[in-house]
Amino acid sequence: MNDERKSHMSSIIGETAVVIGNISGQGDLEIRGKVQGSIEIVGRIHVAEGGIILGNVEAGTVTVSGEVRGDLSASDGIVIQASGEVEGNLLAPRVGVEPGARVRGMLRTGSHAVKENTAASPLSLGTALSTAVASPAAVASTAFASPAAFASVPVPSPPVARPAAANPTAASPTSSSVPTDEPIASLAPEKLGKTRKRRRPRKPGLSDNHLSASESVIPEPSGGGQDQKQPAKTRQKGPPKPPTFLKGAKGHQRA
Amino acid sequence: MADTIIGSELIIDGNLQSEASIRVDGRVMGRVDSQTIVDLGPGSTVLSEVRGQRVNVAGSVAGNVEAKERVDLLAGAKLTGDVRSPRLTIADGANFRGKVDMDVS
Repeated sequence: MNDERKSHMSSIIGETAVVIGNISGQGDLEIRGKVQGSIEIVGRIHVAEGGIILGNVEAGTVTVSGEVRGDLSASDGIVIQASGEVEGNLLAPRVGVEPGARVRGMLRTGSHAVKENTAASPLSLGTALSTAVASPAAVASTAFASPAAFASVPVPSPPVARPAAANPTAASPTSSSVPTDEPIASLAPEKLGKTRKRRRPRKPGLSDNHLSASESVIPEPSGGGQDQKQPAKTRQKGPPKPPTFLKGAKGHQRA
Repeated sequence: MADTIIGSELIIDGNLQSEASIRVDGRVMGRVDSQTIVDLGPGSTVLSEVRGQRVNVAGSVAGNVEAKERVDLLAGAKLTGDVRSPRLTIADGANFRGKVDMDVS
């Protein structure tokens, strides 16, 4: 599936590549090299492990496994993965920070935390949720991504290929384009949602677990009997990384 | 698949360089520099120099193209600039305006 990632709208800045200047446009972008300048795209950005951005980033969805020194702003959500390091502010309706990530800056979530320039409507999901430090339970409901649009958020742990950008219409990340990405689609939120207790009335977004993200800030002591296991088999790549202590923070649930 | 791919809807307002291969389908308002292959797809636009070991041009380039090994202007290419390369092919349908210097030692 990884090979599919190269949809005609996907771009990659390779490992040895260096861009000195600003990047803008549409489509998904994976950064494995260095970018010195700001990035503003309508679509998803993934900073792979080893990737470095020196400058501000603005996109529909931002996931970081590498390093960013600049502000991150997303119209849909931001996830800083365990290997990520961010020195800058985060501004998005939903923000997730995985345990292990290093973040230094201000974090602002909520329905108003949207920089209104991208086409995506921030919260089709119900703004209520947004105070994003989502409870681990949210894992099932997935941090962000309206169900259709982001069925395929890049799998966090491996700086891997984003599944073939199923959504060609990067223009509105939250629009419900057909989520044809298999790997993540198979993680279909619906599927997960059914198996897990859905505490939050959240729409099933991405599936998952890997994105679990959000939790970290307030680890809930109560490890619910929540099956926080992530359906490994459906995972497109690599073993799922269940955040162990993030077991279904029941306590953290918010109505 | 090239190591670096600039999609058709992406614009880089600055320079791009890499040790590995580069494929451009979008727009680069600056230089493109690779130590291996540079592939400029149809629909791509580069507004400054292009350098590589081998350069394939199928889009628009407004700048000089320099290669250590060869330059190929494919049908649909539109190059306004000079070419410095030991080998050069200009396909039928390519559009070229500039000087050619093949004496690259």
